[in-house]
Amino acid sequence: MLNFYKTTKAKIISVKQETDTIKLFKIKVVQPINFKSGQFFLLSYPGFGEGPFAPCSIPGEQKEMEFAVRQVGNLTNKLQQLDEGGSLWLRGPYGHGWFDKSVKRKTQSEKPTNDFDSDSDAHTKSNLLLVAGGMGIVPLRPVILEKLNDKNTKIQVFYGAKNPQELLFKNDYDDWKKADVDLQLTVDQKLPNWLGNVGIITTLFDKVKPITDAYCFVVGPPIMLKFVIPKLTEAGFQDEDIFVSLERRMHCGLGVCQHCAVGSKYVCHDGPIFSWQEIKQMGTVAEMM
Amino acid sequence: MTLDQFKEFVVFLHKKDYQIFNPQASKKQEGVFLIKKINPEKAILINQLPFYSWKKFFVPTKEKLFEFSCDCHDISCRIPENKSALLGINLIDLKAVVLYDQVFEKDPYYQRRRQNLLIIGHNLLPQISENLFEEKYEEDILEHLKFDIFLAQIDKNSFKVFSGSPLGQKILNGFGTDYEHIEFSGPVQEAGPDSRMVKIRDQMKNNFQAEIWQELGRRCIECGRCSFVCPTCFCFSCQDTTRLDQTVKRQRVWDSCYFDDFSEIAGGHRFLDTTAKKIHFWYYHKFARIPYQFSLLGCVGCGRCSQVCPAGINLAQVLNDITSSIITNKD
Repeated sequence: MLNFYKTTKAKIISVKQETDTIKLFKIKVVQPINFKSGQFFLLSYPGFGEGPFAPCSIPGEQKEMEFAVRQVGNLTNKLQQLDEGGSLWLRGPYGHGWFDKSVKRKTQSEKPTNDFDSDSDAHTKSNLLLVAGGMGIVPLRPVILEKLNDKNTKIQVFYGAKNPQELLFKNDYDDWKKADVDLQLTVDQKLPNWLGNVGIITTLFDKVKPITDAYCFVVGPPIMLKFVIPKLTEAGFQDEDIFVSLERRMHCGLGVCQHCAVGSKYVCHDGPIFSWQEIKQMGTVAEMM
Repeated sequence: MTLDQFKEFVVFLHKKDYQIFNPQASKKQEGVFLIKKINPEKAILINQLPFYSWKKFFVPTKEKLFEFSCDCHDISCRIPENKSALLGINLIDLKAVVLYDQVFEKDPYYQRRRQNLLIIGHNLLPQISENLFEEKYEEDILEHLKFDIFLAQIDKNSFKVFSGSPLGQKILNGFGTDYEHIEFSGPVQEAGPDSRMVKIRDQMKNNFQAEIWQELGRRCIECGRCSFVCPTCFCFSCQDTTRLDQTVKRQRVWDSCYFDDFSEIAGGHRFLDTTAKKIHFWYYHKFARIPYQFSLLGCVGCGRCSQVCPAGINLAQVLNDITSSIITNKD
């Protein structure tokens, strides 16, 4: 019988210090793994347990993947001690990806099979507004990489961090801009040499017109959602077109152990991506705000 | 089957290499019954609820998932096989088996363990306070329960015997007794999901702010005793333990949503950071999430939680408050 707890060894092929506390690991596996942007893996090191991490590299059938690891506890402290040539273990991918939830039915005749399908609009949106706070950019980078060369999709990114040093994937920005991504950055506190916007992420909504005919993918701390959602609604986004990636404690990753349960859903199994409409139905808005 | 034949039957099982587990009177505490491994001659069938549920036979307190180490290339997973006969599970505790089978459907450890369990139910029901949903024995309910063998006591000296699975049939054929087979037709009755369950489920909004939860939050001390004794609490966490030789054992251990770090994420934030949220989460799991997920009630009505609660929280009373119009949902 398939054993979903079985974890696979992966080789670390490079380690890059992205910020003071965040390292970017590129790992390689023997058998290619197929994953979608928004899904996550449970990474572990023998003796240090497991934790959920979303890959931040291009999705699809891959032998190589990148993970961003911030130093916050036992497992991540250990992972950050590992070097190129070392190993870590992983299992997955788990959960629904961004596009599993956002692709709408094309014809009216298809009956909705999932509770997150909206009855009103059968139109599939063309563009994407990606709103990221802090490490929120991590599960959104695969979306950017996936759609970078898609002529039919215009991508706009609102990305905010505490200060310029906390901004991730700086090496990518030029490539993204060349591919016509509307990249809007902001920081809470500026540092010398910062010429960009200063202010919390909602200030970007006042300065730049949000893209239209788009789904919005939002990742950030609950406090950020509290202020961003009203801005999105103001800009004309419907609840069923806004998608959020939730974070919860995970042990099994399979929807059994109950640690990640929110209302009647499991973040590992039914999420981590949920539409804002689903989140409101969960009755968890008060808890999040 | 007569009472004498029943005694022979237990001997027969023992000869077939089954370890026999049966509720026995506790020597230390009068009136308390505990599930013990017994020699066949001690087997009894009683109308008492064992103090602890049968849960640990289905969801062990600790279970090794596999072993590995930094240097090894693959993990080794050996699942042990011990045959156990669970003799004398009453109707109330039998309801939990249906739930475990659903929850652990895709779990290879559970499935292997389940294959080596012989579930022998019986119809003697405990007192009303331990029978919250007023379960009554009728032959009709057997097709909605999972068991291998079921013994329905007709009078002091005789039982009607049923089989509920191929394993049950094989054992009974081997022993040589008359029996009827009951085919499991799913946990939900023909009439549809239990109306009582639907009512409670619909009343349970995912809203911990309602006064009922705030009040329970003031009384509950988060000891977690209810989750230990409850047959339908199956939360677990995965832990690594390192041996001196550097091999690591990854195991599953019982956990409780009342424990502080249950909902803690990296960075220290805890989603269940008040007692009200915790106790609401516990009730919500049983009376809303399990019903939505499996169309089953997540509570068997044994009342063990109320028995062990040091704060005197009574589940029957809470359910009453939920289904009456006392609950006000502040949204």
